[in-house]
Amino acid sequence: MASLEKPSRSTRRRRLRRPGRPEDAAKGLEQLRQVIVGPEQSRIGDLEERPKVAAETVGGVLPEAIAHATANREQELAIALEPTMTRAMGTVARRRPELFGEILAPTIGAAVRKAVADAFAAVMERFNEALERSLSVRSVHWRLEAARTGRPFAEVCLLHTMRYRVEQVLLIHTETSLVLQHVIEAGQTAEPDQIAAMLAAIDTFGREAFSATPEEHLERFELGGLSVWVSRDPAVTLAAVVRGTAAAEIGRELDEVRERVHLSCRPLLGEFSGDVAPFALIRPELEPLIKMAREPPARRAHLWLGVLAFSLVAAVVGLVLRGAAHRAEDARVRETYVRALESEPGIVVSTAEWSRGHGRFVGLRDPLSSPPEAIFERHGLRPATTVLAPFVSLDPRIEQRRVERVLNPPPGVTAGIDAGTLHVTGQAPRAWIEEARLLGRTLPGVERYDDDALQSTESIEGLRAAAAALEAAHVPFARNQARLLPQQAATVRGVATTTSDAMRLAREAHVGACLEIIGHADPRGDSARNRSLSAERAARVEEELVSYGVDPHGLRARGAGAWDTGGTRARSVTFHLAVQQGSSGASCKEVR
Amino acid sequence: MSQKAKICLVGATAVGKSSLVGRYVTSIFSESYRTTIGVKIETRLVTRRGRDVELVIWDLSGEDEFQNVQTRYLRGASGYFLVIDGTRRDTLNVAGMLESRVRAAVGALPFVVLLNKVDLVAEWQMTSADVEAMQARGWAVLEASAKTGAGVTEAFDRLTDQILGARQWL
Repeated sequence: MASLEKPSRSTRRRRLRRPGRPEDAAKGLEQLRQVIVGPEQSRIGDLEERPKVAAETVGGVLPEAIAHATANREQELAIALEPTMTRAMGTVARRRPELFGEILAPTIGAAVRKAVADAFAAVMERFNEALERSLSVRSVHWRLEAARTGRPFAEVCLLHTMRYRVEQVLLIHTETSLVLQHVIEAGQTAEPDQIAAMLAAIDTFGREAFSATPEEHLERFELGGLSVWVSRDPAVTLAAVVRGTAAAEIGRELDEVRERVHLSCRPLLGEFSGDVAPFALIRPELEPLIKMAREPPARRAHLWLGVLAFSLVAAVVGLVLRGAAHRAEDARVRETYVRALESEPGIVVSTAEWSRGHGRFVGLRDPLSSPPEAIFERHGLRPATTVLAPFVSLDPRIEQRRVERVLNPPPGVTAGIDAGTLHVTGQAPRAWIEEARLLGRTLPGVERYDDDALQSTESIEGLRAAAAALEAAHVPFARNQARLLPQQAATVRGVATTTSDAMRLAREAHVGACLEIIGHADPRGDSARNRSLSAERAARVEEELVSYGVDPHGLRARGAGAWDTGGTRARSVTFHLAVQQGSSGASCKEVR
Repeated sequence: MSQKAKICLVGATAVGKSSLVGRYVTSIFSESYRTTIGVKIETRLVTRRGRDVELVIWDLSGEDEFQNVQTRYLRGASGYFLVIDGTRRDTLNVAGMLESRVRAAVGALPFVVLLNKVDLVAEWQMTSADVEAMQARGWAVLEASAKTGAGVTEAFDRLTDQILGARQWL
């Protein structure tokens, strides 16, 4: 505007040459202005109007422009507006704190409640985690490992539960490889510029060595449990040193942060000449990258796993106990069956099995023992399978059964084995005795055969007949005489024969026999004479019997004195055959 | 510290680059890196003109008939040392060639020519004419001995000053 108010050099010259009336001069000047600067004046007028028009124009499209930018370049818009918005909010907060209070009042209570709830949740989380980790099976292993390695339990726990940990982040100027910002976990040390420069050198080396395209750069390398993730663009590079197994999310997170840094620091990056101080402002963007991701405790899973494991263990223990109970019950039943079988003589069980109500018993059985079915029934047991091979038992009870089965002793005969000797006693027909004597010696377990106490029925009956005949016989004598009358010789000879037979029968019957020869005298005369006379008569008959071959050991003569019986029997000799168990044959010494 | 600068050391093989840097820095990397990927990184904090400057020093493997200096490593550098072994005249020629290659690769950068091994006076092959010729080209030429440490710090200070001076014009 100053140039318009200042007269031009030519005008000044005309003003000096042609002075006139003031109104003419003013009119002429106006005309001259229109001629000379008319178009410019019009454009200047437009320019003066322009800010107003521009504001209206911008104001008219501003909402649509913001919506468009939000839809297409939201992040850049947010970054661009952030400083202005921050300053504006700061200004409002300072000048009208009451307005901020009104705005925040409805939300501050909820925010505080949420913060308190979050804090409690975090405490409970840590408590539960500590509890879970303290009581889990893994924690026992970790405690053992801590004890073995001498490291604190917390460190061992952290080592095992950590998925990854971002230990340091380097914001690097790509062109110079100088570190613009370096964020590192507390306790770690590093030479960030050397690391960044070496990263760049390795990138250069790798690209050169493997003929990489210009777009290809070092993105990640791993060293055991350590990895370095690199996110780069031509202006800025972000590198993160990660310990553990980092997920791909780290790469995405680095890319996002790098893009934000690039957008917010674009001017600084373009003008960078080694001064890193301005990049301190970007540090809050980087600090959240330093973090640690841990294995989720998965308590629910552990709880369910624990319940499942407990159930499994309980089921297994139950099965084991049930199996043990079944086995114990099976063993008890099996033992009952075995005892029942072995209570029977002549059965030996070598193998016994019992499972789920079914049994099988293997062994030996003497045919003379009871059948297994009968044994089970007698003991109130259900039938079971038996495989019993036949054998000869030497059980005394079976031996007795065998004796009785083989010898079949008649009534009145007893046969039994004692210490290898088969004793047979009683009375039996002679034929049976002979057969038993043959069979008895062949029986298993019989070493000796004893039938000394066995009497043949025929012998006993013969003895009885002989005794009766001898009782009925008498040898008369003449009065006061002890000589045998001739007519008595046949009688004496008959007595001798009967006596000899009786002695033989007595031997057969294993009894002792003694023929008493009793002399008598009639009552006449004195008693002394009668005693001597009777004794003489008995002795005379004895002599006569001996002379007929009768064994004198089986004879005993005695005088009975006077016998007041009348008739010839008073002057005679009578006979009595005495039989005694425990001796055999003629044996008057044992016979009382 | 707010200022950082990447500087490089280039020169023929065995001119003493690593010895010079070893005199000046502490490194977290072993010497083997230079032979494996052609560079070893080291850092040193210096204070110049009242400002702390973190020097990130790239010690590049030397130029010889078997390998070339990896000029890609100079990308982003703020300055560099052109190291010459004063007892080997051929390293002067290599330095001249390297200066051209660096300039072609990353443009004109502040640099300092460092004549190393000044302690070996008896074997010295550089002439004042050589030095003057370099100075005539506008090169800053300094002498140093990695063995005795003489001139090493001054050389790094000089290069740092040049870098900071150049930054003032940015």
